[in-house]
Amino acid sequence: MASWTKMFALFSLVLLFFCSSNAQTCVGPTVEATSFTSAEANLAMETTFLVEFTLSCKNAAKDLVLHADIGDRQFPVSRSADGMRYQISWTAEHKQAPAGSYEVRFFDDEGFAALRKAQRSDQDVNAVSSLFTITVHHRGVSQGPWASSPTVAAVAAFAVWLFAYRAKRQIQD
Amino acid sequence: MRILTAFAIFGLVCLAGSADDNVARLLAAKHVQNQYLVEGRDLTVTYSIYNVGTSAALNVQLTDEGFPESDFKVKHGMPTVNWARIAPGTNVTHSIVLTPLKSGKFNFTAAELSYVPSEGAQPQIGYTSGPGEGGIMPERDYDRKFSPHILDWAAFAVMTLPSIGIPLMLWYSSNRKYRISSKAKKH
Amino acid sequence: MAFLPKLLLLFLIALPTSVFVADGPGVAMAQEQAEDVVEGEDEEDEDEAEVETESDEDAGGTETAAAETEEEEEEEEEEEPLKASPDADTTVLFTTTNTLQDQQIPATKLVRVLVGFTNKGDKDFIVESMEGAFRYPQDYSFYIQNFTTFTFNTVVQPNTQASFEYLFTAAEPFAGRPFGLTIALNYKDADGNPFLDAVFNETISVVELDEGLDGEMFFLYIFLAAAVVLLIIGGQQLMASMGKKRPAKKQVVEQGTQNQSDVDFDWIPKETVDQMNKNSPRRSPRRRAKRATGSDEK
Repeated sequence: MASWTKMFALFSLVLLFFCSSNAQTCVGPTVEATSFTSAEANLAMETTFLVEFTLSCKNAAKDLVLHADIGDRQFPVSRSADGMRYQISWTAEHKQAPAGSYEVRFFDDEGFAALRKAQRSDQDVNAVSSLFTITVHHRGVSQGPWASSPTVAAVAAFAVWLFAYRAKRQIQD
Repeated sequence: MRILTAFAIFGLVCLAGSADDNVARLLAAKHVQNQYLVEGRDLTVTYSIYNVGTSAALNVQLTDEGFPESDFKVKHGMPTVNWARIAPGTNVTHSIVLTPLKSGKFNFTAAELSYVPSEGAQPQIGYTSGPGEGGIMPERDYDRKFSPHILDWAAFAVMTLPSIGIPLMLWYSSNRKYRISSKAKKH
Repeated sequence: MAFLPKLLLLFLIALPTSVFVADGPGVAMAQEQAEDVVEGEDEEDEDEAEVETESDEDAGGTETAAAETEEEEEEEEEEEPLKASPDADTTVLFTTTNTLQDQQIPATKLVRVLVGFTNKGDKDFIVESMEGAFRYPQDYSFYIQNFTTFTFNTVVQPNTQASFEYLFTAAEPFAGRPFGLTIALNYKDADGNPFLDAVFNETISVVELDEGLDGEMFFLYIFLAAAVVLLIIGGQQLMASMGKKRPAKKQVVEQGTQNQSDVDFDWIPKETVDQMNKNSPRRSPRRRAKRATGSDEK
């Protein structure tokens, strides 16, 4: 009987271990990232942010489950079919995506759970340490040139006419 | 004994996952973000996947084969990706940026999605919504509409130069003469 | 004989009411609604007018005939109401109402609805189209507005799912009112039997979003104010310059050689002035000289 109970205990302990976490964690991450943000308002109805990166860990962990946090939203990170490249992307309205730098923090499962806990208990979210951070520089979406060229041409023509009119008035006086 | 049974139940529950009735259900939309589709300029496609089920969707694979290599070049993003887990009641967006290589009509078809609705279940195949047909306009037409035409206006200015320049020169030369003559008068 | 006009009046009143009672609720609703946003109203008003004019000639016969034909039309429509197939499952999700509560739709903004379709059967389904409509909240058979139908003509194989998107916009006049929104999916099975699944069939209210004071609008107002100020100043300058010109011209023309105190001699070198005063004053060469060299004045 004793052996049975021992085995059972061991079995459930092992089960417990597997239940808790299935993912590996990355030790010593190095990241190479490229990012893209929408540039022209004509070509995109919403501003799209896209970050692609390759991650290499010192413990050669692959196919990691990562989560991204951009401040007000969190989402899982997608992986390529071969598990080497990762990508996250999000969209925002043009007005809510001004030019500037956007910080994206990446967490693994444990880090993400800690982040969610901090959020729920209203603690400082920035205190949770991320695995790594990628900064996206957004140059802003251009809505077209500031003054359209016909406007500039009209203003220039008006200036020329004004100069001529004044000179003519001087001569006539 | 009680502790053991508790462990056993816990272990079984862990294996079985949360309740058996909970199933994940994914709805996916595919949008083309552009107002104008222009050959040679960015074309942004966004996929939004929503989990309206009560359990997490596992091993979600999104494959889009609707952009053949001959007609589109992938500039940023990966058309084939997977997510390990999409929690219930959440959504994920994925975008790719393409460059159309040809102009004309193009039928934007649905992308394929496959996911495991609950642990241990068979993978479920689904399709995203298809945006339908769109016309890709050649770059010349787009430029004609939207580029600032600075070169054209500069050419226009050069062409108007004779009709403005000649009277200006005449006036300026006579103006200078008078100024000189009045200075001579004073002294 | 005073009886006859009264009888006629009674007939005229009784006829429309009997038509309403005999007919479906559609015509009655049109009468009771004070709103004139609906296009359908015009058509139904015409029908009533026709019936009323006919009544003058032959009250009994035409009244029952009109009622009968309208009833028959309704029966034909009700013969085959399309239903959903048991082998197909649909789910609906509104993807744009993230700032509003349930059952609220923003006015003048594009609303996106994502409908998921599961084929649980063994045969293919062909999903044909999706249509939406705004209906009168108390009576769902009365259409207020039909939205554009989206056609898909997509084949969904057994054991697969597909998503379909529907987009529509509620126009601005609809803001602040409740409507019945219906979104229905039309599909056929492999044998060609048509099915209709009403994926959304509830009352919603159209809400106008408060955008708040935009940075753009703020600067636009400032720009307009500046433009108005500029116009006023321009107008003032123009008036001032025109005022200056006319009196000056009058002086030059009218006064002739009389008034010498206004003339300004500062610009003439001293010697010349003395010379002039020595010779006879008030001679025209001075004035001619002044006008000819006017362009040198700065």
